[in-house]
Amino acid sequence: MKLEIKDVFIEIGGNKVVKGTSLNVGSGELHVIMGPNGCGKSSLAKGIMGHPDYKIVAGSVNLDGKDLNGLPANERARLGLFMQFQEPIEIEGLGILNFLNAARNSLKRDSKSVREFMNEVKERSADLKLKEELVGRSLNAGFSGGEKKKVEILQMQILKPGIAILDEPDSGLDVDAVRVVADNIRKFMESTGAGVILITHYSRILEYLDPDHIHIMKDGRIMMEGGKELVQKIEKEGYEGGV
Amino acid sequence: MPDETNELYSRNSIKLEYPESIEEGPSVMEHALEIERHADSKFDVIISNTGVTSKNRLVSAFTPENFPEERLSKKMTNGSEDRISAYINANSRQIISIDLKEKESARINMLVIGSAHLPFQVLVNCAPGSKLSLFEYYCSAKDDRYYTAPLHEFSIARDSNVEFSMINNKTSGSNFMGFSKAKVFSGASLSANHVYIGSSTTKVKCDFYAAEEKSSIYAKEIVVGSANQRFDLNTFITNANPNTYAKLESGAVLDGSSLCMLKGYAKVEKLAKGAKSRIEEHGILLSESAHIDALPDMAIDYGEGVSATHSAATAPIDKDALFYIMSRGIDGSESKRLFVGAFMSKYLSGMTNALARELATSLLLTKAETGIFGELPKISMKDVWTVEV
Repeated sequence: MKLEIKDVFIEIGGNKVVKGTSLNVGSGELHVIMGPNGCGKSSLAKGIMGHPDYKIVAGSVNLDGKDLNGLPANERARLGLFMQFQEPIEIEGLGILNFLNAARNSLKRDSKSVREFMNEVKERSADLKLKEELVGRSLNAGFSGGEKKKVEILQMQILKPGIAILDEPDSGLDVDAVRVVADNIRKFMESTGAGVILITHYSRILEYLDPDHIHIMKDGRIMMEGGKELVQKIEKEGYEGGV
Repeated sequence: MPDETNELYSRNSIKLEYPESIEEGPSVMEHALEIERHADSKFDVIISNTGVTSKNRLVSAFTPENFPEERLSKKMTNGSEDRISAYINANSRQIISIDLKEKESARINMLVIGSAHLPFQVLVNCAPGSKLSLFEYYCSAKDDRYYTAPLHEFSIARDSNVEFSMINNKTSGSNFMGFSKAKVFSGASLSANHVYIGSSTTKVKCDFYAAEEKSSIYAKEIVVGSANQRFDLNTFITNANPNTYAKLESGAVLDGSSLCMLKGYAKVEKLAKGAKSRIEEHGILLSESAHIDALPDMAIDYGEGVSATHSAATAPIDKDALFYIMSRGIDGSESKRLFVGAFMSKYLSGMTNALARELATSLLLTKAETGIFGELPKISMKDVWTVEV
């Protein structure tokens, strides 16, 4: 699977927040986007996933050659895209298992029985060190920041997308939880061959992952690209000095 | 009752035309059997214009003419409370009395079918330590253009529990007005779960009184409106004594040009040290012409250790929540269904009566999705677990 982002401009409420960004992500590749607050990282993620407020006004986003612009989020998901939310929504009354089962049935990616699905949820929850009782509760309602992030990763593992955009999977996590989440992302990529765009502020999660490309975003554009050495440069010099 | 004096409440109020004559209606027993087939259940009590049929020994049915004098003296309402109470007290065709002895338990499912104007009373008297689950399902015989008007009185003695669930699913030409009064005594609790789906106009007043120390009131009401339906819900909760608990959760999901007024009023009286009182009124608007007035109000007479809070919010379906659900591959209409279903489910969480819960879930989802009401889809109770009270 290949995601091609070509010179894309994204607008929200008439303001351009992404100003000409290009990025190609293939199967099995891990791309990391770093950048200062408000530089357009999350806007890029939402625009690619099809949030109705984040409009692609120029450029193109193609998934395996299919133009995503204009498609609703569910169609993009059906084509193989997934987005992990920086601030996952809480929905009281919507059980995680019911929600995941509804999503699984819509995507039709596997023919697992309900029992097999439940077993898979149980196993992946254990991998994520998620308390078993949590998956029996309403979606994110009353969860800690770390629990919410883990439930997002759980959803990715169960729904098995071809390309996943992970928007700050490490923010709000303690040191041990960062390692657990990183391990699960790596295992997921190895087992499914999925490509991943990982948005982060911190280098810690990258200690447990092996990114293929690092992209530094500033003011709505990708300003620098390279390997893991870029992370050290940013750590040392900051975005102001380094970019 | 604050609505008579509260300017905000009286301004936001639906005025009813009270019918003058009470006619006999046709027999509805055939319709009752059809409802039982669809509900996959037998009702213990059937109330209609032609009388009361009861299979439960705890239920006694009277007419105003043969209602016992000594029971009359224990009545909690006499019509002086407000116009709905006055109308029902003056015009009741049937008076149903449910009396539970000390530590007795019962589950009673009632079917109420209107085929003419039907004012009636249900008087519940729970002795100490008793436990009652009362469920009432309101429906219409064909061409219902009448008022169904129940009045409930609950006297819930020390350490007893009452769960009172009701669903109004009468057809569109009908009207529904109700009056409920409950007194909850020491250590006892009332869980009231009301579902309003049917009728063109609904006006209900509930007055729930946590009368003695450590008594609890949990009131939940959910409205799903469509077309031009109008709902006017007035629920008053009172903490009268120390360490009492009273919570009202009102919800509405409105489509079309429907209108709903949620008027929750909480009072914490002078003696209610350590009392907890909470009102939540939340609504979802599915169309631009639907309208919800959420008007929580509180009066606190005593402060020490008292917690009294309220919240109100009304909005269309949250765009970000919809995007979140859709981003998992679920299409727009199913995403809305999941979101609205989740919203409604919290108002059913107090229903432990399996029949009430199954019917409410099925009817609420159908109504929110299609706007259809007044009919009962077939449900199966075979795989539904029933926990004996």
